[in-house]
Amino acid sequence: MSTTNKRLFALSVMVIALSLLANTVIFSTPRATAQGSGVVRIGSWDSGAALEPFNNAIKSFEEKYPDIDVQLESVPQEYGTKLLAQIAAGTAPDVIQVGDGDVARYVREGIVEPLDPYINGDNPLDMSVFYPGVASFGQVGGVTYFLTKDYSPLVLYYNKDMFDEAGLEYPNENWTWDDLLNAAQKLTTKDRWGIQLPGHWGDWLWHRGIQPILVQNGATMISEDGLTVQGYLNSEATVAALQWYVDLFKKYKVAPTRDDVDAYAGANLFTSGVVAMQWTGRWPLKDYKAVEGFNFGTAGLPAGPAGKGNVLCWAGFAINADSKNKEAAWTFLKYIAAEDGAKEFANYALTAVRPIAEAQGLTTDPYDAPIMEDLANVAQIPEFLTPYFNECVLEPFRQNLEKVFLEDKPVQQAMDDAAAAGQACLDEKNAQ
Amino acid sequence: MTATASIAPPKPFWTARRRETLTFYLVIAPWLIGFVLFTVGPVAYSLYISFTDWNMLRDPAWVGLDNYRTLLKDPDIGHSLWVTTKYTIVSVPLRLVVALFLAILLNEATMLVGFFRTAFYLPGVVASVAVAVLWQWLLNPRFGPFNKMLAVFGITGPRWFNDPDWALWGLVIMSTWNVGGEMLIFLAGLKGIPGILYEAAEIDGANRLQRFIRITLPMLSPTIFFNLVMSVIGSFQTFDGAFVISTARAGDLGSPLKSTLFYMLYLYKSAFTWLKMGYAAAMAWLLFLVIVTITFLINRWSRRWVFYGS
Repeated sequence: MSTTNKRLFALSVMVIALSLLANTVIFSTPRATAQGSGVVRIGSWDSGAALEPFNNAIKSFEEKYPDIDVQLESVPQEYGTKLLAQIAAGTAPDVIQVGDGDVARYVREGIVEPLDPYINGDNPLDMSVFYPGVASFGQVGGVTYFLTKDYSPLVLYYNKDMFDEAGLEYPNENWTWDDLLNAAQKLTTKDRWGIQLPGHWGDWLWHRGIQPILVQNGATMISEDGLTVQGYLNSEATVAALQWYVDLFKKYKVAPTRDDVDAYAGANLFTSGVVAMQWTGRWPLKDYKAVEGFNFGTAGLPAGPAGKGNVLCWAGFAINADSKNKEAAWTFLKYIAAEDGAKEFANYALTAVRPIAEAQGLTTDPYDAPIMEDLANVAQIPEFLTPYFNECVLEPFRQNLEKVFLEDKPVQQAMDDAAAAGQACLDEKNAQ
Repeated sequence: MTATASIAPPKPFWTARRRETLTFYLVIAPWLIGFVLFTVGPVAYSLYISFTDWNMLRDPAWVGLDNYRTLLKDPDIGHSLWVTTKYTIVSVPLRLVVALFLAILLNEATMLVGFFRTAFYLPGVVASVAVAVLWQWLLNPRFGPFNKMLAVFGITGPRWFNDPDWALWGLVIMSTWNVGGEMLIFLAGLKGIPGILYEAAEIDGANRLQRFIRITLPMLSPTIFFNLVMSVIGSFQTFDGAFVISTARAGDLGSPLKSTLFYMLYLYKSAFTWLKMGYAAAMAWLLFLVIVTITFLINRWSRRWVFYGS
């Protein structure tokens, strides 16, 4: 071998040796386990007592997975706004709580990670533990993006003492709109109202709470394909349902207006005996039970001309598509949505996990049985039909319904205007 | 060393003048770098964004003048500008009168001046969100002290923030509570008026009102001008109080019925609710033009009444 060749040979040997060494170093580093490790941030709009299940679940999770550190970030106001800004800036939490109204939009914008690779991956999840009807809220186009946090239909609460005092029969599963109005009229006195709706915080334009009334009258806000509101938002059935709703405030005056609720500045009108009935979600149930000596019951919603109807309020968890720690995020997500962590949430709201729900005995509980029974009447929510629901349907709906209340605009005219504006918006968006 | 007259010495590079220039730039460098990085940069970027369609989640797409064309067609732009203008026209003069009145009281006071000065300024220290929550209580239609007081005189108070006809005026009243900043500037202006003028006028037999109109107002006019311009600019950017008041009551931004939909609220809604960042940037530039125009007009008008002394 010439000197040059020797040198070349030595060099090659060195290169090979070095690359072997490098390979050993790279491949011998302990690979991250399927469970993941490090910090997982979770964002939620819950606050106060509603953070209890989070804190309990995080505590038990960290005991089970000491390598993962979970940080809870609670943003009670303007959660969605802050979340979008964080996503744009790349600083959003790894696991995010998402409401049903944002599901279609977040999927369209690619904000949330498709979960199927994880569900069928090294750290799998058996999806059959969920109630399929509830789990379907987290799926878009057959792909799972969200696991259910909790859900709730609308519930009719009633104050038994006030009903007894008035000598009225309690609401039951055979109640109709007329029965509800009739009872509400008898229960309304000066500074006392028969029924508070929708919701317990005074937003009389809260469409999810109004939605069951539309369903009970066989109405929908938008066509099945999500492209048309003209003829749906202003259909005869929609207008008649809204007229009945508006009349509770304006004609019969059996429901407190936004002003009335506002004047009490945050006090719950139901537990303070100002209203005899309340039409809202299941989530305040735990608080109501905790009020000492408060004698109340729950019922499903009444039937309208088209029969019974209800809708769900749903919240889920997703993994931020930009997360740097998806494996650990998935481990945590699975824990709070399907495993032991889900039990903590089940103590607070309805759970989608079948074994947990069955162990709770909700179908025989005097408060929960009527609520569970009404789940059979749940209809689809319109938010899932179009990603432009908030901007194109909800915005004109709220604006025009407010005009009905504050400017005495006729319901038909208001919904005609809402449908016209909504249709123009949808056409423009869908043409893009 | 003695310099010979025939050979000019080579000029050193670092002449006194150059040295001074360098020092100047070095001294202002921290500010200059910050200004370019954090003011000029974002401002230029916002101008660029205003020509794009951008939802923060995807890359901005160039759309030319589309956003500006939409601005002209959007009825809520005109409406929110009108709401903001109405608010400005009523609240700014009211604020200035209240601030001037308090400043005159302080200027005349002989006892506890420090205490009152602090007390009058105090609302400015309170966070604006807390102020809004407080005023929601004060103007609560049923239980608030304001309407309770009116009830004593047999007047049924308005529904304030719940009534589309009254909500804006509720915000105007709220704004007059916090005039500490203007008051301090007025007070400084008042202290600068030479007492000799008042003495001379008094000797000539001028009464209090005459002295106020003929001496105080003209001598104070540069201060009034300054406060006026700053208040108008601030008023066109009204946001936090209106935001808290309209959303805390389970209402929409600018509710009831868009009656308090200030321009900045609509901008915020476009940007952060609908994620139309390009449109919101165009709105910001429109507001900038409006404010520049109004400030220019006030400036021209001020030549007629601002007295800068001899």
